[in-house]
Amino acid sequence: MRLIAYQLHARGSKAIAPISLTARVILTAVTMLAIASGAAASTSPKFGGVLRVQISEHVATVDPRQWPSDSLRAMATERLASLIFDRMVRFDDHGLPQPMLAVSWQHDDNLKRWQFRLREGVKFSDGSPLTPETAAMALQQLLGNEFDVSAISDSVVIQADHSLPEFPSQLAAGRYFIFHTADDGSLTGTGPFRVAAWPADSASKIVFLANEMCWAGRPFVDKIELTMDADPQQQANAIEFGQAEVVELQASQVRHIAQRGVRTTSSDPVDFFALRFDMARPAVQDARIREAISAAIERASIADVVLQRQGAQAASLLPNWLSGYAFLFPSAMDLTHSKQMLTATRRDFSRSTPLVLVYDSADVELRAVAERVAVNLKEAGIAVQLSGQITGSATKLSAADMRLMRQRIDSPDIAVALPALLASFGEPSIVLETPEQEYAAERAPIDAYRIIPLVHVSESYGVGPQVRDWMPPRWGGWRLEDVWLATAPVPAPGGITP
Amino acid sequence: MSFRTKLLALFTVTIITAVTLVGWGVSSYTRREFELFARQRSDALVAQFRREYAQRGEEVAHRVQGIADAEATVRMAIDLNRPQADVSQYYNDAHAIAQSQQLDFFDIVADDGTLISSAEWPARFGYKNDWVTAEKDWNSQGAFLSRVDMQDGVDLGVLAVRTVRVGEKHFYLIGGQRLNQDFLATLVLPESMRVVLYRNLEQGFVASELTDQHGQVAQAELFVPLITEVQSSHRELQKTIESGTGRAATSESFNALPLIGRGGDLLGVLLVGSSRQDLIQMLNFIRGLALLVAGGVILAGLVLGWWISARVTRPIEQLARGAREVTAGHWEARVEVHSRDEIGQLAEAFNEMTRQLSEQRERLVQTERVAAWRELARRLAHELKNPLFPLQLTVENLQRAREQTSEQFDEVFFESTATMRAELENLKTIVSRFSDFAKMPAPEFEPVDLNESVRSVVKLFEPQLCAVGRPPITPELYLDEGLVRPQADPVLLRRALENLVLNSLDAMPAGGTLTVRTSQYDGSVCLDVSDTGAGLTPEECARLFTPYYTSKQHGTGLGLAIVQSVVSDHGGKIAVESAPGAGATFRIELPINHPESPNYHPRSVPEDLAVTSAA
Repeated sequence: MRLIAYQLHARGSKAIAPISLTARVILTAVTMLAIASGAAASTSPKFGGVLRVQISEHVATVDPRQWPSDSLRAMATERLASLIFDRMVRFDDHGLPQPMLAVSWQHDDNLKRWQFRLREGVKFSDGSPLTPETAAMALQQLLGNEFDVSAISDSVVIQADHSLPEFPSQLAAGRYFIFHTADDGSLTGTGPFRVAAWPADSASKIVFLANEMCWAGRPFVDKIELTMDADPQQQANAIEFGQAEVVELQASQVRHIAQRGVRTTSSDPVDFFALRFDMARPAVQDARIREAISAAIERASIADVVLQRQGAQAASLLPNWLSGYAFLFPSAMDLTHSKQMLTATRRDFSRSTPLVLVYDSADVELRAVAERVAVNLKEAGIAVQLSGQITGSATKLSAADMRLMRQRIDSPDIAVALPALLASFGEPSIVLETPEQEYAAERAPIDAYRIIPLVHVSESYGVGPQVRDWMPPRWGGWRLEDVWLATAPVPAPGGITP
Repeated sequence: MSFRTKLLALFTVTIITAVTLVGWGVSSYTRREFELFARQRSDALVAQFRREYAQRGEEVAHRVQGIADAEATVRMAIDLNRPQADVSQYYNDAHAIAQSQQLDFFDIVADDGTLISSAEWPARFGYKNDWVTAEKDWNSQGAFLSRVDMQDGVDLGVLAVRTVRVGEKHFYLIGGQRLNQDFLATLVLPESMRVVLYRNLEQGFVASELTDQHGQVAQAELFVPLITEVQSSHRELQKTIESGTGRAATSESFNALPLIGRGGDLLGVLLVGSSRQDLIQMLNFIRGLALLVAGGVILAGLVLGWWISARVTRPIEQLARGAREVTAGHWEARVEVHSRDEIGQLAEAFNEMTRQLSEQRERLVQTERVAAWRELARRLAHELKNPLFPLQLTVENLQRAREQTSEQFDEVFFESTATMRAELENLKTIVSRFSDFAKMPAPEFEPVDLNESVRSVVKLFEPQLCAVGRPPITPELYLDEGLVRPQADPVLLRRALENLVLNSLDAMPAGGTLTVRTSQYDGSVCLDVSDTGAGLTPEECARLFTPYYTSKQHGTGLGLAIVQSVVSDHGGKIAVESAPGAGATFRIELPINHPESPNYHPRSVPEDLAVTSAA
């Protein structure tokens, strides 16, 4: 058994491990930069204030046991859950798993048994201590019966019947939060905030209060007021007119609102737009038709125009920042090749029934992309009928020839992100242990044209002028516990560009 | 049909015709006037549409011109004119501009026709709008109707194009408003009128493209013929569209106005409809009123016509009645004279005619009576003269015999008395015949086997048929064995039959064939007796049944008269068919049931059968 040690320190000077020579050099440089920028700043971090946040999604519950299947809703739920709960492991800025509630972990040689040693002195927001039994119970509910989760001494031991090569990375993302069920059935966590009010009606705001007993230290802001179901224009107006400090921005809004003087931030491309075919539909069973569709789509214009340069054209499942080999997948439009493929099928597409392309009608970006895809395919001679449908409705994919999907890549670990992504597109589950396996797994559905990647899009936020230390991970998400609010008067929004 | 009925029918037809003509005239006039009014309203609405359409076009052109003149637009054009300009940043601008200017369509097109931004179909950016670059002087042109490509099909709009010139390049701004039911809703429509727009965006007729201000038009199939006709002719048309039946029936008159695009293609059809319900209701009212009035007028006309015809035909009917009385033998019949007009003069002439006829008849009767007596006297004299002459000779012989010996006298005496007795017997027979004819008994009816009577009579005359020294006469009987037994007097019938057979025998002194035939038809039995003798002339046929007329040297002229009397008493009739040299056939028709017979059962006996005897 191999034991990897991790060094810990509190919020403001976070734990970084394992400490290699290279990492130490980088850490030193970052620390010096931070000190330098801190010296340059006119103000020091301050406690207090109310952070007003708006999101588009509606989150009914943050109970990790009731995790939504929809990618965007799951992402929003994860954002809110991360305010309340902590995971055993977290990702650092480089996408490497780092200690959180677990200070160290070890595994057996065949990677089937993992033991996580819990941090001491951690308490839930209701005052109850974090114990291995509590953590084991939470993980057991989340991992399911395929895993045997037990508490041993100060550790939680997870036993599986198969190899778990990237298990800490898996626990560092998704729903694997450690929670405690109170006597009244409510859930509490060890996170930086606790829920003060969660009104049933969506019009009211959810209020989070700072968790004074947080093991990593009290967050800077006293309170977070979160508004759900805010439409994109409402959020843009809110950030522009000072009615919110943090809002989500659509890709098509970012450049426009930035031109108005609003501070915007964007992650690396993490939203994956792709077409998925229903292979049971006769209209798309011929691979040449799917290849023609792939060749007819002008991805560059989708990324640059429709998504206003907030996306990158994609021919692979994973973005290049994550895989490093995305450039190997050609993404250029080839209308001639597309028409050749269509001719090869010997089908008269001008007389055949239009292909049905389904998309989530609640997602305006999906709709815009779907319309552009339809235009491209029309130019190639393929009639497409768009059908906007509500996600989660009873509509089945079988009613459509292809579906335009938007899937969030929620892990910076390719070994975790790729299987999740493939699974979300209906591909068979796989275990990836080598880069070759990862590449092959990604290549297979693309070469078979079961999945046609379109673009990878960044996650963007509009941030108010008084917000400080807004440093979200590069793969998206929040770190609201690090945010603090400047007390200086809020400057007027920038001039409106006509 | 009586004269009165004819006159009444004439009145009725005249009145109905007059009423119908008046009703038709009023109805036609009303219909024409109403349709003229409806057409004027429709024309007014078409003119209003043209004004609204032109105004809408001017409005669109004005808005697009305003956009083209805006500083932001000029800045955008300058920016886009730069090398390596980032056109993507204007991707959403068309949508924003369209919203602010209340335009349904707005496109920003680069100098080469590339679509930079589109409000109605944002996803189409980057593709070419070649038609817009073909024209450079857009700024002097007004709005026009055009089809607009959309994500989910094609739309119809009033478009205007304006250009912004930067250096040598033009940027095209295409703005427009949709021509749809919302546009129709802006038209102020008079009551009972409506406007329907057909957007001719696809081949053939598409029901969903037919809308009015409330949405898709129901029963769109009713418009197919009109739309199809406009599609083929591109001309303005007018047509009436009817639907439903009974009380649910509707009728609308439509003016179809073709909406032509810049290229001369038919992009739409505006249908200005005017309900004809008012017309139909008015026509129905007029029709009902006309029927009511006509009914009253016809009824009054009938009463009046009946009164007039009765008044007119009464004297004629009296004349007719008088004529019938005269026909029936009432020569004293007279009609009243009520007026001095033509009818009155006719009545007076009738009365004068009957008076003169009566007088002439009296004279004729007297003349005929005298003639009859003379004929009778002649016959009597002729008949009596024959036996009287031998008597006279016998008496004179007897007187001369007194001068002879007694034996001779006795011999002459006995011979003379025998001769005298024979001649006296002959005289008795002659007198008896006349007496019998005068005293013809009334028939006593009973079922008679006519065939048996025929056989019996023919058998009676057999000796004469085969008499020695006389040319033979061959009897041929064709008797209907299924003959019904008629009600008749067997004695009289036999007597008549004997007379006919005897008459035939007399007609064939050179021998021949006697044919007797019985048959039955339609309630009568027929007896035909034919000979092959010399035949009769028409004059002889005419006088054949006159009593005492005979063409024979030794006939009394009573035989056929007796036959006719018997037949008449049986309610039958007798006729003769003959021609010189072709023999003669006497036909007797007797009713099977005589009215006076005890077994009389009325049947469809011809009226003249009982009273007519044809010669």
